[in-house]
Amino acid sequence: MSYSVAMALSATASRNGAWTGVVGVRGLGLAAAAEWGVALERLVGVGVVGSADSATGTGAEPPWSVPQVLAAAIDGFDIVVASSGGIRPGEARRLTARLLQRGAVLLLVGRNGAFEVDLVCSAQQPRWWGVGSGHGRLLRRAVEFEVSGRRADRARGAALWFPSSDGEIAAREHRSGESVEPLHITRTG
Amino acid sequence: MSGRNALTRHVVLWCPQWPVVAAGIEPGTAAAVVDGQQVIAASPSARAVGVRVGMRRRDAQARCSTLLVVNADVSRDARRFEVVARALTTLVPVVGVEEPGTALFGARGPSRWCGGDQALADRVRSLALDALSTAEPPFHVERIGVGLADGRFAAAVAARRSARSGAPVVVPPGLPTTAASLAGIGIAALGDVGGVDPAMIHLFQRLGLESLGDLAGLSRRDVVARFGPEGEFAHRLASGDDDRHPSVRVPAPDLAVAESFESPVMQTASLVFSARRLAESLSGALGMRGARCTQLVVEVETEHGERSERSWSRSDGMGVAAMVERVRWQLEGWVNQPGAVSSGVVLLRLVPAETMPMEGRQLGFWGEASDADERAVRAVARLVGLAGSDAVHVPERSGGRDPVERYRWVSAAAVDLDDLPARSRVLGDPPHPWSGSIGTPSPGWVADEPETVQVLDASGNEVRVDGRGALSAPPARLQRAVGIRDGSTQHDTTQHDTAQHDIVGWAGPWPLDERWWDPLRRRRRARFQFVTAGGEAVLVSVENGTWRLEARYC
Repeated sequence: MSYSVAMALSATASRNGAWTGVVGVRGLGLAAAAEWGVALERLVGVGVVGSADSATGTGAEPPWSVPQVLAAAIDGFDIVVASSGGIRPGEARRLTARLLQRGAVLLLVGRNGAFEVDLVCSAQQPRWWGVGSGHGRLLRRAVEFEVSGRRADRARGAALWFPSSDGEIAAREHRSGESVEPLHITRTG
Repeated sequence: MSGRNALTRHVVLWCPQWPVVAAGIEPGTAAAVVDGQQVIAASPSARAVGVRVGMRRRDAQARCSTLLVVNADVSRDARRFEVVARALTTLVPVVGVEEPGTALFGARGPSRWCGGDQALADRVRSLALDALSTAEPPFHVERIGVGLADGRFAAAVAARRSARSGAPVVVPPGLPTTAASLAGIGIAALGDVGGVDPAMIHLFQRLGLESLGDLAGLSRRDVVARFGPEGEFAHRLASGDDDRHPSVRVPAPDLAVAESFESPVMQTASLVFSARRLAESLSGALGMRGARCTQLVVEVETEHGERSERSWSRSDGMGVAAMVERVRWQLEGWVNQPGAVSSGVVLLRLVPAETMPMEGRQLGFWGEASDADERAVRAVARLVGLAGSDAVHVPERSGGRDPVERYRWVSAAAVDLDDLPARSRVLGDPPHPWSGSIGTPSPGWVADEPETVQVLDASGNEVRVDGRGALSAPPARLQRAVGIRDGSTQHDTTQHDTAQHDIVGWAGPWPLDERWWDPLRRRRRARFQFVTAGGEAVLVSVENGTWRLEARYC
C-alpha cells in the first residue's frame, strides 16, 4: 500500500514542476506512478533496478553509501522517496537537518527506522471493487486513510476511494468533514 | 565550377539494409528490423515476398507469415559497423560514419597511395568484404556498394548504384561527369542520401520532376525564387556542384574539448560519463556561438598508445545526448574488437568538425529550464558519481502490454535530461492501450524477477489453464514458497510473508500471445488479478503451467 500512498502524495508537487528522486526503493510501478500523476520526466531513480543479487531476495546492501546518496538526492530533488533501511540515528538527524535547510520532503516507504517523522500517512483496510469470481477487473479501492504523527494535532482519518474508478482520490463519505489528502504536501522552494 | 572550389573527392562505402546485417540474420531468412511499428530494414528474402522499408509491422507480417521481426537497436548497428570502419583505417586515419552502414572519407590521399581511383575503390570493397566475412560471428551481407566521386552526395549516390551492380562505381572528376552521373537518378535520392526535406521532394515529384536531371535542368534562379534556400541546396546537390548545406561552417579549432585521465580508465560506463561532461561543455560553447554540431570527431587513446578516431555526422545536429551516444557506440565497438584494446583509456577528445546555425531549433534561454531543473540535472550527475552510472536511472516509455513493460528504467547517463519538453512529450503521451492490456489502475509494485507461486483450488489441486483460457477449477488459494522474502525488501512485509493467501475474488484470464510468429521468442501467457482475503490485489501470470507473481496493486 505504501507505494501508492507515496506516489499519490508526490503527484501534485511533481505535476507542478518538482523533481522526485527515488532512492533504493525497488519495483516502483512506473505506469502506476504516471497514473497517479507523477511527472515521469522529472523522476530519477537510484538503485531502483534489481541487480543480479536481488533475484535471491536477500536484499543485499547496495555497493554505494546510502546516507551519501540520500544527501545528494535531498540537495537536488524536491521530493525524495526512500526507505529507512541502513540509516543510523546520527545520519538520520543530519539528513533531517538537510531536509529542513533545503525545504525538501522525504517520504519514507515502510518503517520509520531511525528517522523522527513528522507525519505518518497510511491507507488501511483496503477493499478492492470490480473483481468478482472470474469476471470484471480491478477498478477502485476503498481505504481508510489515516494521518497521524507529531505534526498532526490529532490523528485524522477519512474514508477514501484510493484510487476511484477514474484514477483520482475521492471521498467515499465524509466522516469528519476534513479533506485529508492535500494536507501534507509541502511545496518546496 | 560556378566559381566555387572543386569538391573534395570522396569514397563512400554503403552496406544496404545494415540493421538486418547487424542483427546477424542468416541468409535466406525472411526478416525485418522494426522501429516501433515501422519496418526500417528487410532481408532479401523478405523483400522478395513484398516486405518494404517504411511498411507497418502488421502489414509486413501479413505479407510474410514466417517473418522474423527484430527490434531496432541503433547502438547494435553502430557497434557492429565498427568492424568495417576499423578495416578502412588501414587506408586513412579518420573514417567518417554518417550512420551505421555508411562510411566515408576523402579519396585524394588514399587514391594516390593505392595507385588510382579504381584501385582504391576495389581495395575499399575487398577490405570491407574481408572484414565482414572474418568477423566473429561473420556477417551475412548480400551486397555492398562503393562509390567514388566529387563530393559526398555524388559519391553516396554512386555507392548506391554500385550496390545494385555489385562493382565499385567511380565517377571521373569534373562537374560535367558528376552531373551526368546524377542525371538519371530518381529524385528521391535527395532525401535518402542528401538529407533534403521529404515534403519538398514530394512537391518536386508532384511537379513532375522525376529525376535529379529534371531538377538540375531548371534554372537555379527560378528554383530559388520558388523554393528559397532549401530549394537552392537541392538544386546544387542535383547538379553535382555542392555537397554540404550552405549554412555548414567549420568551427574554430580551439572549441575541441578533451579530458586526460591520470589513472587509465577501464570501464566504458565511466568514460561515457566523462564524455557527457565534455559534451555538455562543448554543447555549451557552441550554444554561445549559436551553433550546433553536425559533425563530431571522437578520439580515444589508451595507455599503450592504441587509438580510435571516428568522425560522426548527423545532418540536423547533435545535442549532448546524441554526442554521448556516439562516444558510447565508438567505445563499445572498439573494446569488443578482439585485441584492439590492451589497456585503460588515458585520453578522450571531442572535436567539432562542422557546425550549423541553430535556427529556431534552439530551446530558449530563459523560462524553459527552472532553477529546480538545473539543480536536479546537476544532482543526477553527482549521483552518478556517487553510485555509478549503472545505479542511476530515469523512466523511458517502452510501450508493452504489461504494466511491467509500459515504462522501463534506463541509465540516466544516456538521456538528455536538459531537454525536458522533449522528454515530457515522449513520456507524457496518453498511452494508447495495446490490445490485451489490462487497463488502469496499474500495480504500484512490479517484480524485477517474478517469483514462482502456486495457485490451488478449493480441494488443494493446482489450477491449470488450457489453451482457450479456461480454468480447471476456480482458484481458492495463492501459496508462496516459504523462505523467499518479499521482493520489496526493506519494508514491513511481515503481513505478506505468510505462505498462504485465500483468494476471495479473481478476474481474468487476459491471454497474451506475444511474438507468435517467432518460435524462439514466442510467449503465451494468461494473466489474472487475484484479490486476497487481506484485501491485497495481485497480478499473476501463468505460462506453461507455471504461475508467477508479477505485480502487486499496493
